Amino acid sequence: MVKITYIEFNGTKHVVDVEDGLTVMEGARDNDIPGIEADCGGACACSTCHVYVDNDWVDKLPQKEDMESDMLEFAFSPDDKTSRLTCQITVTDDLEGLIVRMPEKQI
Amino acid sequence: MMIEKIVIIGGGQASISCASQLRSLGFNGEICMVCEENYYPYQRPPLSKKFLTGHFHEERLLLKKIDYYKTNNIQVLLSKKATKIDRDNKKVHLQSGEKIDYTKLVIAIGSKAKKAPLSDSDNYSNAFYLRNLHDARILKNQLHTGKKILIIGGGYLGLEVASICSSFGMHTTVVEGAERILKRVAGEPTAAYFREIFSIRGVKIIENDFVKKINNIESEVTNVELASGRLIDVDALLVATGGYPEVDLAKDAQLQIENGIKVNERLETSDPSIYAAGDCASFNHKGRCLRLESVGNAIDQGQTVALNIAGNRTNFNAKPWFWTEQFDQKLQIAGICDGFTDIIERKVKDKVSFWYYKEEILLAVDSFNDPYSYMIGKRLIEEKKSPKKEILRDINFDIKDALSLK
Ligand SMILES: Cc1cc2nc3c(=O)[nH]c(=O)nc-3n(C[C@H](O)[C@H](O)[C@H](O)COP(=O)(O)OP(=O)(O)OC[C@H]3O[C@@H](n4cnc5c(N)ncnc54)[C@H](O)[C@@H]3O)c2cc1C
Ligand code: FES
Repeated sequence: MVKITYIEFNGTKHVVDVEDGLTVMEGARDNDIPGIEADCGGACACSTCHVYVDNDWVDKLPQKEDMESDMLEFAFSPDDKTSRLTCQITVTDDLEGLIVRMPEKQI
Repeated sequence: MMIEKIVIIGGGQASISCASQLRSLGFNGEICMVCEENYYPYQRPPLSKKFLTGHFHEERLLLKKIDYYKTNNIQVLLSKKATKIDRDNKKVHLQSGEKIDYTKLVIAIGSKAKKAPLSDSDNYSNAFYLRNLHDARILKNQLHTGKKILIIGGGYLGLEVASICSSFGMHTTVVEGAERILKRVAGEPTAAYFREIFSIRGVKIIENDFVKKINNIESEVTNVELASGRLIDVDALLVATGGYPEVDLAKDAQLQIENGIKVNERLETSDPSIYAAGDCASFNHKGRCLRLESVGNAIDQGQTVALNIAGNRTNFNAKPWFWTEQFDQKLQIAGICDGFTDIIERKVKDKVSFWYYKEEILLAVDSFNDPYSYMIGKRLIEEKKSPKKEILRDINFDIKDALSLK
């Protein structure tokens, strides 16, 4: 289990344990954390699972693939550096303590 | 005051979208989901994709964890089929004999797999369908290197399964009765693009030919004869000839039916206390009764129904989008290409997209591994903007700039 902190746009904090091998999106879905919609269920096809990754974590996460970058460009208010699609980040032990913040809305 | 009781028939994508939206809106009446299947609401798209490869655990399909329903006071009746709607007494009858009262009813029964060219009475041990988790579990066990599979139906579903079977090293054939694959949902360039990819991978696609006879030894299909005289040996047969809404329930209750359960702009059926959402609902789109079988549509319609039930009058505004995965290609589709007169191809490096126009109006975009074009196309269509076709033909033009054009 890996501890991840999800912070809603209104500041509400959710600290939850997510199983290795799931995605950061699934961690939010399975703990019923609002703010990540994930309409396509993780297929990198909807861009409704967008978050801003905490600055300290940006370089520790695996790089974005082209598909993810392109989808993100059209998410709501993306940030070049910190924006990620949570369905494209697989949870591993290295992510212990990850902090992500939700945008004001998804699209 | 009478407590509101919302009964939702069906426990799929539209159903959970409606129920969870009702709770998010602060609705505190009763909610009861009647589910024919023995599973809590789950996502279907992976069933013809990752799930078949065996690298995707079943639990990950669940749209909400099971605790969610308890925490949010949503009653879920599993393995219960609704058989009758008694509108006079506002009751739903279940196959088990129970009767449930409702104040508002939502029909979200999805669609069923067409059997043709098989018939209802055919019961072959090696012929399969793919609509639900039960089907997918069975099909998954049939995928073995070296075996021969024939897929009847060259739509997205049939092709997705074909790509997986081929990756498993199966001898894979797809037969399509229409003049070409994807006839209902895409233009010839998209079909041609896939045809080439499938042919490189050794999948045989036979178009404009249909099943004439199925030969069997006892309950096992041994080979299939096509109208052209071709004979195809099979170890397994998948029927993927499309979906249809099983509307008898609504029809018997004298609800208006037209290509599905007919709904108005607020997704009410001809009885204003009954709504329909998802695959089974047919709504007016540009003057015709349209039904969409897609996740995005089921989510949006489920939410719209919830808003209307909660008293926020909301009109449904279709924003069609879809995706499909075939080998290493992800095709993303925005809009509906039906009625197109022109297709513009854009090829920028290895990214390909097809832009469908009806005269000067942009209708739809098909993009291959090219989310950039997809996202721009989707916005343009939603904002009812149609860039000039010449602009799109110019590959030096960054299509993003089309968004700011008048
Ligand atoms: C294999 C597969 C792959 C797909 N891939 C994609 C994709 O890549 N992208 C995409 O956008 N869409 C895809 N779809 C389509 C998408 O899954 C559907 O459009 C969506 O699930 C529709 O939601 P729904 O709630 O209307 O119906 P469903 O999710 O089908 O749910 C309907 C439920 O109602 C139940 N039911 C039916 N009758 C009764 C009754 N009388 N009483 C009680 N319960 C009843 C059914 O058993 C079912 O569980 C796919 C579908 C399938 C089957
Ligand atoms: S869930 Fe759709 S892109 Fe992440």
